[in-house]
Amino acid sequence: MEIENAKAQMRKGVLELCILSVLSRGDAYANDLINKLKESQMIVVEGTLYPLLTRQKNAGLLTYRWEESPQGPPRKYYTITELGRTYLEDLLKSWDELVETVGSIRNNS
Amino acid sequence: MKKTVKANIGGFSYSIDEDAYNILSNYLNELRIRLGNGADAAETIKDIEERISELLSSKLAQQEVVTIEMVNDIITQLGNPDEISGNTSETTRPHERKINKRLYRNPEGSIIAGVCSGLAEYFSVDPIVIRLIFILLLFLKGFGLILYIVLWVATPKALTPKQKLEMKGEPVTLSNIEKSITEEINMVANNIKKADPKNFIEKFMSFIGQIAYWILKAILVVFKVFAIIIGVVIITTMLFVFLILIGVLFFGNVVFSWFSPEISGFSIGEFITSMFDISSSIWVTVPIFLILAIPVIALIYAGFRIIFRFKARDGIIGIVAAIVWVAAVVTLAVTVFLQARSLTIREKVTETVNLSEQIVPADKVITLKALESNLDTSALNLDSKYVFFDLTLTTRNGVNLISGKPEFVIEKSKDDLITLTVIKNARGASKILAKQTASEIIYKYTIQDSIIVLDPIFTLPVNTKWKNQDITLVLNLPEGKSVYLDSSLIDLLDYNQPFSNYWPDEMVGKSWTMTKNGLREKR
Repeated sequence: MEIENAKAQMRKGVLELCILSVLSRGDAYANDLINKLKESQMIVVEGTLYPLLTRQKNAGLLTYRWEESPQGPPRKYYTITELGRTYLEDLLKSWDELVETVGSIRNNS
Repeated sequence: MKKTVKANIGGFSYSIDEDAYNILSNYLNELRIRLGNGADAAETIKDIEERISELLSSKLAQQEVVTIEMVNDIITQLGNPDEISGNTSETTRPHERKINKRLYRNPEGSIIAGVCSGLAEYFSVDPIVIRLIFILLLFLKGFGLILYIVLWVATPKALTPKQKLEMKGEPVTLSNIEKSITEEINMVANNIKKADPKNFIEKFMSFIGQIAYWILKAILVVFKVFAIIIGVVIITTMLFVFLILIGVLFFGNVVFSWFSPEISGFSIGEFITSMFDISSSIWVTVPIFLILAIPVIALIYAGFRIIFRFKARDGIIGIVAAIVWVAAVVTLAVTVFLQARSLTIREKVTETVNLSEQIVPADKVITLKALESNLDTSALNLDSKYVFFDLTLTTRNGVNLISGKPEFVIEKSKDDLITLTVIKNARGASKILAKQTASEIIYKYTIQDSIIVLDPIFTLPVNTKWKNQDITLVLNLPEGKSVYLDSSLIDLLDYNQPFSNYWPDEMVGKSWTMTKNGLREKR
């Protein structure tokens, strides 16, 4: 198994969490999300994001609205819903737990 | 210079280079396949399309037309369909779909129409090899040209990347077919091992199933090999038939001289014009050619399809070919009908000579002889000779001459006169025409003392066409009178003598007397 693959799998697992985290700090359109996630090297190609956004929207975790853009086509602005916030809290909690567990496993061994 | 198309991407209209458009449209199609059919998928695709649109509009700042570079950049940025659909990790590569290799014309690297470089891709050889083969075939009576044109018309050009992939797919070689058989066997073997049968019967049934499956697969492979063999056989035979057809119809001299070098033959076209009332032989040869050649070409084409299994744009060509074929049949039918109409009525012209008065002395036995045939090819330096039913078509110094053999019978006179009757028969569109044609038949005989010399052939005047002309010579012999038949008459004597039970070869060289019971040998 290649290291890159293992890393990609890890990132994939927490990508949902990351999207919701970014949105919890304010509305964003796809490009903002992509830039943020790319900066932090959470995603390599931006295509990955769209199926996730659609899934989260359909699960009621987020909604969107159209806004005119200064240039080019109108943009979809995503907003996190109340359900999304609860879901994010849940995820963050288990993330913390996970970090703790992993930390203790590493230290014990 | 590039062709540009208009495309609506995410609700906005773009001018986009055709190659770029093809890549983009394939990309989106691939995404659709990977993401499935759900409402989620449609929405995701829409989002991605909108994103593409957005990226395009930012890239298009200065330019007007979307180029292939832009599209490639965007696809790199968005990621490939596998990554987006996320159902595959990077180690388990998406199962590569087996590409069925197909024959295309290769627009990149073409000299004329890309037929050769397409074939080169198909057989995975350097195009120069195929080109050399074609050039060599060109010297083989232009065979290469026909082949090239057939392939040009029949094979589509590889335009889209998918077609280009198909063009370069796995080569169809015997070793590959062998490989696929081995793969099948291994797969079946694994399946048998993997199967976890609960009892013996289940085990047995699954084994039978696997065997049946394997046999089916093997049959399929065998069929493919056979298809290639059949295709090759069809193509070679049909090309041969095609060449023969052209030769016989239009270049008779060449073809006949292959078979018998001393006679330069007629082409069917020349033969038709000299035999029939027809303004030009093309009314017959061209329809015949089309009626035969269209199915032959279709078979050649079918042969190529069997071998190469290419997708063909044969709809319109097929319809056109069918129409042309029907038109040819109609033309031929009309021509034949018009010909047949000119042969509907048969008439005869009779000329009788009283021999009793001309024979000196009157009681001498008449001797009948035939002249030596004067239409011997070698003796007369004929340009050509062609036998058609009982007529012979000869050409001497460029003049066509139709000749035939009269039939000679001996009958019993109803009176006491010895007469020789020449009955000339011909057909025509009307009684008058038929009679006219019949009377024009040229036939000569001479009477000298008691010897009658018959011409072994009758001829038709120059430029008279075939109207089923024939001649019957009747010698009327009263009872008690005798006749000597010279051996030269053997070819003239009719086999069905109404007053004799003997064959011509038994009759010649003897004297015969007419009796109450017919001809009897005179002793």
